[in-house]
Amino acid sequence: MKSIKYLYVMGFIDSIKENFCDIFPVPPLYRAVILGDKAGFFENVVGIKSFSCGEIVAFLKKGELKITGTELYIKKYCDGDLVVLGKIQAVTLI
Amino acid sequence: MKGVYTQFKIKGYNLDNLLNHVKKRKITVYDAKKININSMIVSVKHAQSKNFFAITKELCYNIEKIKDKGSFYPFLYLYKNIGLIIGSVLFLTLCIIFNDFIFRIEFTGTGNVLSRELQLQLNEYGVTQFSRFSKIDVDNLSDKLLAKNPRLTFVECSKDGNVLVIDSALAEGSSDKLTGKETVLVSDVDGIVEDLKIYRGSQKVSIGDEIKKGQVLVDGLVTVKDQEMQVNVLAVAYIKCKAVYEYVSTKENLENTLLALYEEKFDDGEIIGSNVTVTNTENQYLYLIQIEYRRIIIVG
Repeated sequence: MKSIKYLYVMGFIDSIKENFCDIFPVPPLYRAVILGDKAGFFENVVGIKSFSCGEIVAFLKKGELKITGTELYIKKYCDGDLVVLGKIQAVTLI
Repeated sequence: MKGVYTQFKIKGYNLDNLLNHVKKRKITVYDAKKININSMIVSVKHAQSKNFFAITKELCYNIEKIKDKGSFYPFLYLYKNIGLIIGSVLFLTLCIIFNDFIFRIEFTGTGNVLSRELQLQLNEYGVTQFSRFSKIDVDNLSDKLLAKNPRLTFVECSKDGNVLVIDSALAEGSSDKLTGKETVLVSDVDGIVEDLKIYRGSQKVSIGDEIKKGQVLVDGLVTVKDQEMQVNVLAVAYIKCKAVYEYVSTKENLENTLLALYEEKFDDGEIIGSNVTVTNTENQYLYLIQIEYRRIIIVG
Protein backbone atom coordinates (compact mmCIF):
# COMPACT_ATOMS: atom_id res chain seq x y z
CA MET A 1 0.00 0.00 0.00
CA LYS A 2 2.84 2.26 0.97
CA SER A 3 4.70 1.59 -2.27
CA ILE A 4 1.63 2.41 -4.33
CA LYS A 5 1.24 5.63 -2.45
CA TYR A 6 4.94 6.39 -2.97
CA LEU A 7 4.67 5.72 -6.71
CA TYR A 8 1.63 7.91 -6.84
CA VAL A 9 3.48 10.72 -5.13
CA MET A 10 6.49 10.27 -7.38
CA GLY A 11 4.26 10.41 -10.47
CA PHE A 12 2.66 13.52 -9.14
CA ILE A 13 6.05 15.13 -8.57
CA ASP A 14 7.23 14.15 -12.05
CA SER A 15 4.20 15.68 -13.62
CA ILE A 16 4.82 18.90 -11.70
CA LYS A 17 8.42 18.84 -12.82
CA GLU A 18 7.45 18.40 -16.48
CA ASN A 19 4.96 21.24 -16.32
CA PHE A 20 7.39 23.41 -14.43
CA CYS A 21 10.15 22.76 -16.95
CA ASP A 22 7.90 23.86 -19.76
CA ILE A 23 7.51 27.20 -18.06
CA PHE A 24 11.04 27.55 -16.61
CA PRO A 25 13.83 25.89 -18.57
CA VAL A 26 16.00 23.51 -16.53
CA PRO A 27 19.59 24.65 -16.14
CA PRO A 28 22.00 22.70 -18.34
CA LEU A 29 23.93 19.69 -17.01
CA TYR A 30 27.18 21.44 -17.60
CA ARG A 31 28.45 24.44 -19.47
CA ALA A 32 31.64 24.43 -21.45
CA VAL A 33 33.56 27.11 -23.24
CA ILE A 34 36.27 25.77 -25.52
CA LEU A 35 38.85 28.20 -26.86
CA GLY A 36 40.15 26.59 -30.03
CA ASP A 37 42.03 23.53 -28.99
CA LYS A 38 44.11 25.34 -26.39
CA ALA A 39 41.82 25.71 -23.40
CA GLY A 40 38.49 24.61 -22.00
CA PHE A 41 36.40 26.10 -19.21
CA PHE A 42 33.81 23.77 -17.63
CA GLU A 43 31.12 24.61 -15.10
CA ASN A 44 29.05 22.32 -12.83
CA VAL A 45 31.88 19.87 -12.31
CA VAL A 46 31.29 17.88 -9.14
CA GLY A 47 34.57 16.00 -8.94
CA ILE A 48 37.44 14.51 -10.84
CA LYS A 49 37.38 10.83 -11.57
CA SER A 50 40.71 10.44 -13.28
CA PHE A 51 43.39 12.73 -14.51
CA SER A 52 46.34 12.25 -16.80
CA CYS A 53 48.15 14.10 -19.58
CA GLY A 54 45.99 12.46 -22.24
CA GLU A 55 42.60 12.30 -20.54
CA ILE A 56 40.60 14.01 -17.83
CA VAL A 57 37.31 12.49 -16.65
CA ALA A 58 35.15 14.75 -14.50
CA PHE A 59 31.99 13.90 -12.55
CA LEU A 60 28.91 15.95 -13.32
CA LYS A 61 25.67 16.04 -11.34
CA LYS A 62 24.40 13.49 -13.80
CA GLY A 63 26.96 11.52 -15.74
CA GLU A 64 30.58 12.17 -16.56
CA LEU A 65 32.53 14.42 -18.88
CA LYS A 66 35.53 13.07 -20.70
CA ILE A 67 38.12 15.46 -22.09
CA THR A 68 40.75 13.90 -24.32
CA GLY A 69 43.82 15.47 -25.84
CA THR A 70 47.54 15.78 -25.35
CA GLU A 71 49.65 17.59 -22.69
CA LEU A 72 46.55 18.31 -20.68
CA TYR A 73 46.74 19.85 -17.27
CA ILE A 74 44.37 21.49 -14.83
CA LYS A 75 44.96 25.22 -14.73
CA LYS A 76 42.38 25.84 -12.04
CA TYR A 77 39.97 23.67 -10.09
CA CYS A 78 37.60 25.09 -7.50
CA ASP A 79 33.89 25.19 -6.59
CA GLY A 80 32.44 23.49 -9.66
CA ASP A 81 34.74 25.20 -12.12
CA LEU A 82 37.44 23.42 -14.04
CA VAL A 83 39.89 25.06 -16.42
CA VAL A 84 41.85 22.68 -18.59
CA LEU A 85 44.80 23.74 -20.74
CA GLY A 86 46.65 21.73 -23.33
CA LYS A 87 45.70 20.44 -26.76
CA ILE A 88 42.05 19.41 -26.45
CA GLN A 89 40.90 16.94 -29.08
CA ALA A 90 37.45 15.93 -27.85
CA VAL A 91 34.91 16.59 -25.10
CA THR A 92 32.45 13.74 -24.61
CA LEU A 93 29.48 13.42 -22.31
CA ILE A 94 29.29 9.87 -20.95
CA MET B 1 49.34 37.73 -0.20
CA LYS B 2 47.49 37.75 -3.51
CA GLY B 3 49.31 36.66 -6.63
CA VAL B 4 51.72 34.38 -4.79
CA TYR B 5 51.49 30.64 -5.24
CA THR B 6 53.32 27.76 -3.63
CA GLN B 7 54.24 24.83 -5.81
CA PHE B 8 54.30 21.31 -4.36
CA LYS B 9 55.34 17.94 -5.65
CA ILE B 10 53.11 15.16 -4.38
CA LYS B 11 53.83 11.44 -4.50
CA GLY B 12 51.38 8.66 -3.69
CA TYR B 13 48.57 6.49 -4.99
CA ASN B 14 45.19 7.73 -6.16
CA LEU B 15 46.29 11.28 -6.75
CA ASP B 16 43.08 12.06 -8.66
CA ASN B 17 41.10 11.69 -5.48
CA LEU B 18 43.34 14.18 -3.71
CA LEU B 19 42.01 16.98 -5.92
CA ASN B 20 38.47 16.20 -4.79
CA HIS B 21 39.51 16.11 -1.14
CA VAL B 22 41.22 19.46 -1.49
CA LYS B 23 38.25 20.97 -3.27
CA LYS B 24 35.94 19.87 -0.44
CA ARG B 25 38.14 21.85 1.96
CA LYS B 26 37.60 24.95 -0.21
CA ILE B 27 41.17 25.06 -1.48
CA THR B 28 41.63 26.12 -5.08
CA VAL B 29 44.10 24.06 -7.05
CA TYR B 30 46.22 25.65 -9.80
CA ASP B 31 48.48 24.17 -12.45
CA ALA B 32 47.92 20.53 -11.55
CA LYS B 33 50.20 18.53 -13.81
CA LYS B 34 50.81 14.79 -13.73
CA ILE B 35 54.46 13.79 -14.02
CA ASN B 36 53.71 10.10 -13.89
CA ILE B 37 51.03 7.85 -12.41
CA ASN B 38 52.28 8.32 -8.85
CA SER B 39 53.50 11.90 -8.82
CA MET B 40 52.00 15.28 -9.59
CA ILE B 41 52.90 18.94 -9.38
CA VAL B 42 50.29 21.24 -7.89
CA SER B 43 50.20 24.92 -7.02
CA VAL B 44 47.99 26.52 -4.39
CA LYS B 45 47.68 30.06 -3.13
CA HIS B 46 50.38 30.95 -0.64
CA ALA B 47 47.79 31.74 2.03
CA GLN B 48 46.31 28.24 1.67
CA SER B 49 49.62 26.41 1.41
CA LYS B 50 49.73 25.44 5.10
CA ASN B 51 46.21 23.99 4.93
CA PHE B 52 47.04 22.14 1.76
CA PHE B 53 50.21 20.75 3.28
CA ALA B 54 48.34 19.56 6.36
CA ILE B 55 45.56 17.91 4.35
CA THR B 56 48.01 16.13 2.09
CA LYS B 57 50.04 14.89 5.04
CA GLU B 58 46.86 13.74 6.73
CA LEU B 59 45.96 11.69 3.67
CA CYS B 60 49.40 10.03 3.77
CA TYR B 61 50.82 11.54 0.59
CA ASN B 62 54.47 12.42 0.33
CA ILE B 63 54.59 16.15 -0.20
CA GLU B 64 57.54 18.33 -1.00
CA LYS B 65 57.53 22.10 -1.42
CA ILE B 66 59.28 23.11 -4.63
CA LYS B 67 59.13 26.90 -4.62
CA ASP B 68 57.03 30.02 -4.21
CA LYS B 69 56.14 31.79 -7.42
CA GLY B 70 53.92 34.52 -8.82
CA SER B 71 54.14 38.14 -9.83
CA PHE B 72 54.05 39.36 -6.21
CA TYR B 73 56.56 36.80 -4.94
CA PRO B 74 59.47 39.33 -4.79
CA PHE B 75 57.41 41.47 -2.41
CA LEU B 76 56.65 38.47 -0.22
CA TYR B 77 60.33 37.55 -0.21
CA LEU B 78 61.27 41.05 0.89
CA TYR B 79 58.52 41.04 3.52
CA LYS B 80 59.82 37.77 4.90
CA ASN B 81 63.40 39.01 4.80
CA ILE B 82 62.97 42.45 6.30
CA GLY B 83 66.57 42.35 7.48
CA LEU B 84 67.67 42.26 3.87
CA ILE B 85 65.78 45.49 3.14
CA ILE B 86 67.16 47.19 6.22
CA GLY B 87 70.68 46.00 5.33
CA SER B 88 70.35 47.18 1.73
CA VAL B 89 68.99 50.57 2.75
CA LEU B 90 71.76 50.93 5.32
CA PHE B 91 74.38 49.90 2.79
CA LEU B 92 73.10 52.35 0.17
CA THR B 93 72.93 55.15 2.71
CA LEU B 94 76.50 54.50 3.83
CA CYS B 95 77.63 54.32 0.20
CA ILE B 96 75.99 57.68 -0.54
CA ILE B 97 77.48 59.26 2.58
CA PHE B 98 81.00 57.88 2.14
CA ASN B 99 80.98 58.58 -1.59
CA ASP B 100 81.25 62.25 -0.69
CA PHE B 101 84.53 61.89 1.18
CA ILE B 102 88.06 62.04 -0.23
CA PHE B 103 89.99 59.01 0.98
CA ARG B 104 93.07 59.58 -1.15
CA ILE B 105 94.61 62.19 -3.45
CA GLU B 106 96.40 60.77 -6.47
CA PHE B 107 98.77 62.74 -8.67
CA THR B 108 99.23 61.59 -12.25
CA GLY B 109 100.93 62.90 -15.35
CA THR B 110 104.35 64.52 -15.73
CA GLY B 111 103.37 67.17 -13.17
CA ASN B 112 103.50 64.37 -10.60
CA VAL B 113 106.99 65.59 -9.64
CA LEU B 114 105.38 68.68 -8.18
CA SER B 115 103.03 66.61 -6.04
CA ARG B 116 104.34 68.08 -2.79
CA GLU B 117 103.76 71.61 -4.01
CA LEU B 118 100.32 70.71 -5.28
CA GLN B 119 99.52 69.00 -2.00
CA LEU B 120 100.44 72.15 -0.06
CA GLN B 121 98.28 74.24 -2.36
CA LEU B 122 95.39 71.83 -1.93
CA ASN B 123 95.77 72.14 1.84
CA GLU B 124 95.52 75.90 1.45
CA TYR B 125 92.20 75.47 -0.38
CA GLY B 126 90.96 73.12 2.35
CA VAL B 127 91.25 70.00 0.24
CA THR B 128 92.70 67.28 2.44
CA GLN B 129 92.08 63.64 3.17
CA PHE B 130 88.51 63.07 4.47
CA SER B 131 87.30 66.44 3.23
CA ARG B 132 84.10 66.38 1.19
CA PHE B 133 83.73 66.42 -2.58
CA SER B 134 80.50 68.37 -2.30
CA LYS B 135 82.40 71.31 -0.86
CA ILE B 136 84.88 71.39 -3.73
CA ASP B 137 84.29 72.76 -7.18
CA VAL B 138 86.54 70.38 -9.10
CA ASP B 139 86.73 72.49 -12.28
CA ASN B 140 87.46 75.62 -10.30
CA LEU B 141 90.13 73.74 -8.35
CA SER B 142 91.88 72.80 -11.61
CA ASP B 143 91.93 76.43 -12.69
CA LYS B 144 93.26 77.58 -9.32
CA LEU B 145 96.09 75.02 -9.32
CA LEU B 146 97.02 75.89 -12.88
CA ALA B 147 97.03 79.61 -12.17
CA LYS B 148 99.25 79.20 -9.13
CA ASN B 149 101.78 76.92 -10.84
CA PRO B 150 103.56 78.58 -13.78
CA ARG B 151 105.59 75.38 -14.24
CA LEU B 152 102.46 73.46 -15.17
CA THR B 153 100.79 73.68 -18.53
CA PHE B 154 97.75 71.57 -17.75
CA VAL B 155 95.86 70.54 -14.62
CA GLU B 156 92.68 68.52 -14.46
CA CYS B 157 91.07 67.42 -11.22
CA SER B 158 88.56 64.61 -11.30
CA LYS B 159 86.66 62.37 -8.92
CA ASP B 160 87.30 58.66 -9.25
CA GLY B 161 85.25 56.99 -6.54
CA ASN B 162 86.71 58.23 -3.30
CA VAL B 163 89.96 59.31 -4.93
CA LEU B 164 90.66 62.85 -6.06
CA VAL B 165 92.81 62.45 -9.17
CA ILE B 166 94.96 65.40 -10.17
CA ASP B 167 96.31 64.98 -13.64
CA SER B 168 98.93 67.57 -14.51
CA ALA B 169 101.57 68.18 -17.14
CA LEU B 170 104.79 70.17 -16.90
CA ALA B 171 105.22 73.15 -19.19
CA GLU B 172 107.42 72.61 -22.26
CA GLY B 173 109.94 75.29 -21.33
CA SER B 174 109.99 74.44 -17.67
CA SER B 175 113.28 73.91 -15.96
CA ASP B 176 111.67 71.00 -14.20
CA LYS B 177 111.10 69.15 -17.45
CA LEU B 178 112.60 65.72 -16.99
CA THR B 179 115.06 64.60 -19.63
CA GLY B 180 116.56 61.57 -17.92
CA LYS B 181 120.05 62.78 -18.86
CA GLU B 182 121.07 64.86 -15.85
CA THR B 183 124.08 63.53 -13.93
CA VAL B 184 124.10 66.06 -11.10
CA LEU B 185 121.71 68.24 -9.08
CA VAL B 186 123.21 71.68 -8.57
CA SER B 187 121.72 74.44 -6.46
CA ASP B 188 120.96 77.66 -8.35
CA VAL B 189 120.43 79.67 -5.15
CA ASP B 190 121.98 80.28 -1.73
CA GLY B 191 119.97 78.93 1.16
CA ILE B 192 119.29 76.12 3.60
CA VAL B 193 118.36 72.59 2.53
CA GLU B 194 114.86 72.01 3.83
CA ASP B 195 114.18 68.62 2.30
CA LEU B 196 115.85 66.30 -0.17
CA LYS B 197 114.19 63.44 -2.01
CA ILE B 198 116.59 61.23 -3.89
CA TYR B 199 115.21 58.54 -6.16
CA ARG B 200 118.51 57.95 -7.97
CA GLY B 201 121.99 59.32 -7.11
CA SER B 202 124.08 59.90 -3.98
CA GLN B 203 123.45 62.61 -1.41
CA LYS B 204 126.14 65.27 -1.00
CA VAL B 205 124.52 67.56 1.57
CA SER B 206 122.30 66.97 4.60
CA ILE B 207 118.98 68.51 5.53
CA GLY B 208 119.59 71.75 7.40
CA ASP B 209 122.93 72.43 5.67
CA GLU B 210 123.64 75.90 4.42
CA ILE B 211 124.46 75.81 0.72
CA LYS B 212 125.83 78.19 -1.88
CA LYS B 213 124.82 78.79 -5.46
CA GLY B 214 126.48 76.20 -7.75
CA GLN B 215 126.97 73.64 -4.98
CA VAL B 216 126.32 70.00 -5.87
CA LEU B 217 123.49 68.59 -3.81
CA VAL B 218 123.07 65.19 -5.46
CA ASP B 219 125.71 63.42 -7.54
CA GLY B 220 125.22 60.72 -10.14
CA LEU B 221 128.32 58.85 -9.03
CA VAL B 222 127.13 55.92 -6.96
CA THR B 223 128.82 52.86 -5.46
CA VAL B 224 127.19 49.53 -6.18
CA LYS B 225 128.92 46.45 -4.70
CA ASP B 226 132.26 48.27 -4.24
CA GLN B 227 132.14 49.50 -7.78
CA GLU B 228 131.64 53.14 -8.69
CA MET B 229 129.34 53.90 -11.56
CA GLN B 230 127.67 56.92 -13.11
CA VAL B 231 123.87 57.10 -13.12
CA ASN B 232 121.38 59.74 -14.16
CA VAL B 233 120.16 61.67 -11.16
CA LEU B 234 116.50 61.72 -10.23
CA ALA B 235 115.97 63.95 -7.20
CA VAL B 236 113.99 66.85 -5.77
CA ALA B 237 115.52 69.49 -3.49
CA TYR B 238 113.57 71.95 -1.34
CA ILE B 239 115.71 74.96 -0.45
CA LYS B 240 114.74 77.73 1.90
CA CYS B 241 116.12 81.01 0.50
CA LYS B 242 115.99 84.68 1.15
CA ALA B 243 115.72 87.50 -1.38
CA VAL B 244 116.47 91.10 -0.38
CA TYR B 245 115.34 94.16 -2.34
CA GLU B 246 116.13 97.79 -1.69
CA TYR B 247 113.81 100.67 -2.43
CA VAL B 248 114.67 104.34 -1.87
CA SER B 249 111.95 106.97 -1.64
CA THR B 250 111.27 110.32 -0.11
CA LYS B 251 107.86 109.16 1.02
CA GLU B 252 107.29 107.36 4.25
CA ASN B 253 104.82 104.61 5.28
CA LEU B 254 105.20 102.65 2.06
CA GLU B 255 105.85 99.33 3.84
CA ASN B 256 102.60 97.59 3.08
CA THR B 257 102.41 98.83 -0.49
CA LEU B 258 105.96 97.71 -1.25
CA LEU B 259 105.46 94.36 0.42
CA ALA B 260 102.34 93.67 -1.62
CA LEU B 261 104.08 94.84 -4.80
CA TYR B 262 107.18 92.71 -4.35
CA GLU B 263 105.22 89.67 -3.27
CA GLU B 264 103.05 89.96 -6.38
CA LYS B 265 106.10 90.39 -8.60
CA PHE B 266 108.02 87.55 -7.00
CA ASP B 267 108.00 84.30 -8.98
CA ASP B 268 111.16 82.41 -7.96
CA GLY B 269 109.34 80.07 -5.60
CA GLU B 270 106.74 79.66 -2.93
CA ILE B 271 106.72 82.60 -0.46
CA ILE B 272 107.05 81.48 3.16
CA GLY B 273 107.38 84.88 4.86
CA SER B 274 108.24 88.52 4.25
CA ASN B 275 109.07 91.70 6.10
CA VAL B 276 110.13 95.33 5.47
CA THR B 277 112.59 97.43 7.44
CA VAL B 278 112.87 101.20 6.96
CA THR B 279 115.95 103.42 7.55
CA ASN B 280 115.74 107.18 7.39
CA THR B 281 118.84 108.92 5.94
CA GLU B 282 119.01 112.59 4.86
CA ASN B 283 115.29 113.03 4.05
CA GLN B 284 115.29 109.74 2.22
CA TYR B 285 113.78 106.48 3.27
CA LEU B 286 115.55 103.23 2.51
CA TYR B 287 113.14 100.33 2.45
CA LEU B 288 114.68 96.87 2.79
CA ILE B 289 112.25 94.21 1.63
CA GLN B 290 113.11 90.67 2.65
CA ILE B 291 111.22 87.77 1.11
CA GLU B 292 111.72 84.27 2.44
CA TYR B 293 110.76 81.62 -0.08
CA ARG B 294 111.04 77.95 -0.88
CA ARG B 295 112.84 77.01 -4.09
CA ILE B 296 112.16 73.58 -5.50
CA ILE B 297 114.72 72.08 -7.87
CA ILE B 298 113.81 68.96 -9.73
CA VAL B 299 116.31 67.00 -11.77
CA GLY B 300 115.75 63.80 -13.66
